[in-house]
Amino acid sequence: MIWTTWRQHRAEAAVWAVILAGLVAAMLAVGSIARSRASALGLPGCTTRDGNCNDALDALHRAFHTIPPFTAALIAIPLLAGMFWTAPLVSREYEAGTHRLAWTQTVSPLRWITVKIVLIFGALAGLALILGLLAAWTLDPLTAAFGGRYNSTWYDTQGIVPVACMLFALALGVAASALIRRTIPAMAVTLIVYAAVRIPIHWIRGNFWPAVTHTYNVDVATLLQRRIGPLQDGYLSTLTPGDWIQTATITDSTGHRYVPNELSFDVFSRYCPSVRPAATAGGDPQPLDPATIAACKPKVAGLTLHETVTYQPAAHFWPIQTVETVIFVALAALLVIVAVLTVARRRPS
Amino acid sequence: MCVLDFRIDTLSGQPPYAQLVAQVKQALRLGWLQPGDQLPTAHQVASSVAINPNTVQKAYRELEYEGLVVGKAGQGTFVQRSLSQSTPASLAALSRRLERWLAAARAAGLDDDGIMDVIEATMRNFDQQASA
Amino acid sequence: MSAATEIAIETVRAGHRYGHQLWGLRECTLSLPTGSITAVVGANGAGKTTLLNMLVGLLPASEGQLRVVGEQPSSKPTFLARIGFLAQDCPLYKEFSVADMLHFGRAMNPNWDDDLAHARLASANVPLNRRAGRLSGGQRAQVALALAVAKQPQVLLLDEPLAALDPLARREFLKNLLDSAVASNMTVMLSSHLLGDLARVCDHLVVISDGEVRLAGDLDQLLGEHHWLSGAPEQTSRLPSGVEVLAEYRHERHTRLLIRTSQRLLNPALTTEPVDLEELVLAYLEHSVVPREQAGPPRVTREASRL
Repeated sequence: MIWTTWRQHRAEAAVWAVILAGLVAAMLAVGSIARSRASALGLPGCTTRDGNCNDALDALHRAFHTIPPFTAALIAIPLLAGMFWTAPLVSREYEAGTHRLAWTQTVSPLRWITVKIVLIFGALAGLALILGLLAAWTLDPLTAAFGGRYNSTWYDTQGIVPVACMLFALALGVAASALIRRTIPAMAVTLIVYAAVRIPIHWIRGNFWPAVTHTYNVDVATLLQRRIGPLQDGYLSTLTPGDWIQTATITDSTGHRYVPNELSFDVFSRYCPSVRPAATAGGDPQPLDPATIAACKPKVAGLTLHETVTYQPAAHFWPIQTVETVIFVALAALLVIVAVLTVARRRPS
Repeated sequence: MCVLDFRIDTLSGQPPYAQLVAQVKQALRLGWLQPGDQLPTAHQVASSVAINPNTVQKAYRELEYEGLVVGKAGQGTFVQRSLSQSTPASLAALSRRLERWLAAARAAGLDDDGIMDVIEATMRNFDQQASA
Repeated sequence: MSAATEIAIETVRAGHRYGHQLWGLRECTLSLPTGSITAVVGANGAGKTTLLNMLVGLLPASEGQLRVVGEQPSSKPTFLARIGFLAQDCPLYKEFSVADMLHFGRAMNPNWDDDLAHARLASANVPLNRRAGRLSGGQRAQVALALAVAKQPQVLLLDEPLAALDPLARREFLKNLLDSAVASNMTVMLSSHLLGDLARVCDHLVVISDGEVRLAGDLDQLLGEHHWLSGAPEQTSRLPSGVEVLAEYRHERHTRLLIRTSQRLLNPALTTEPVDLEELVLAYLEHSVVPREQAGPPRVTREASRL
């Protein structure tokens, strides 16, 4: 049965080997280029978003703003595996009539499907693991420039989630194949259901582990002297770059809420309307000229703002991945059981 | 060298084994088969002309029952005696009697085909009654 | 052939239902001895494929029982080792070479006789390195046959193996089939609607129509029991009991009957003629003949008359 599985999928394996060789080469190339760029910018020593590091990280971000689509490929691979490896697995036999050949040999259909599942799932899950490790290596120098590992490009291509997604997609494919018995519809169902499950999980993954809430106090006068930028820069707080900020609200003692991105503008509007600066165009932080600052300073002396941030710290990366993995693996197990029972009981063809 | 090739007329009314029996008997009458000759085994017949081996065995059993062949365990089936027709004298006597009947049939208005029909029908009924 | 009375294939009122209403086969009762070669005859969609698929365990029985070499058809390897199946259209893995197909047989069957498989293919002149998808119809049938036979089954079932073959390929296939069957006292059942080949090869007959078995039994016995009877109407209407009239054709001055009886008919006023296989099968397929069970008294039959 092992030989039979290999021989039946030999051609597919060859095609995938070629494609994956290309992908691996691309990743190795990007990884080396990223490393050399990062060290050229003096980056390896920067882990916080402050001052000089900022410039370097921004430069790196711009250089790799469009990461070569190998990450898109990595995210698509589980779905493609489900559509092309397991969605045709059982249906192809029915369509060619070879199920009448395969299931009248001295191998029970139960053993037939089980061996196929073990071998194919094992091989492709191992592949997903290796690709995940390679992605981790490739993207490591760029992590800080892209806001940490919660960025979906990182999160979906590294760790144990890619393996779980692979198992889920494969299980979906084989269940569709066994139930529907026609290859093209099985492939379509695999695609649709995979997307229908995967995308919502992507959105709600922030809830998989209890988030942390922290409140910071910020002195406005000091605030006005620095450049104002988006909250995620961690300007107003001491969050680390790998943290994932989910919500952030800034209030003052009167209870008024400020828009984080337009904090300075808001402050001026409220307290120094006569000397407020021109609205920043395009949202790029502009330095304030000292005269404006001096004019407003007395009015905001003693004003303290409170920033409440709800976030997932970088340390929660693995627990969140684990929860997501458990979800996908549980679904996969259920689907595999459905597929195996369907084939072993062999409803009329 | 095979002594005999069997053929089956698949859409005649005669059961296949009876056809084989008839073919063996014809071969005996014509001298193609002599006492001591070995008939092809059921296996040989099956794989050379795609005839059911059970059919062959049945035919051989029938021939053995009639004393024409004998089966020797482990060796095969062998012709035991030839099919002798009657002596020439009795054949001549039969012919004369038949000629007289033919004259009567012609006088009654039967042509060749009519004569053959009557002969065949009578022979069938006669055979059935004889083996009852 | 051994004279053993072991039953290799047995069904008792077996049936299979597709969906809620559609019965592929109903009330099928058969009993076929070891070493027999049975022809299953019927129109397309009559139930032949359903019967064969049920006997190899590919279709479950909705009612009744089946037994093949004493065991109920299932997906257990102990059962699968005893049967060989050649499905309709001789399915093979098209991208496999013939040698790969043999490797497949070897990998999937512990009881595989590789020499036998190679001998079969050599005698059929099938090249080992050609892809299965590029073989001729006759070659595919020979490869499928070799696969089924080399796993050394006790019962071999074939679903319309001759359908796509030219006369030469058919003859070669049947010779090969019989050669294998004789060598190991295999019980064979094959379905077809080509009667000429079946008459020479088979010793048992099953006629199926509309999902029901209309006739079943030893072929010689069946042919011996059926006769055409012709005579004047007064004669044909007075028949002894024990004679089953299956069909009646009335003409101006005589009537022709298709009868079934195990007695000898001695009325000189009636002309008796044998029924050949094609007439026999057609009679049971065409007329609304009520099927008689293999064991049991004959039922009353309806007569069909035609001018």
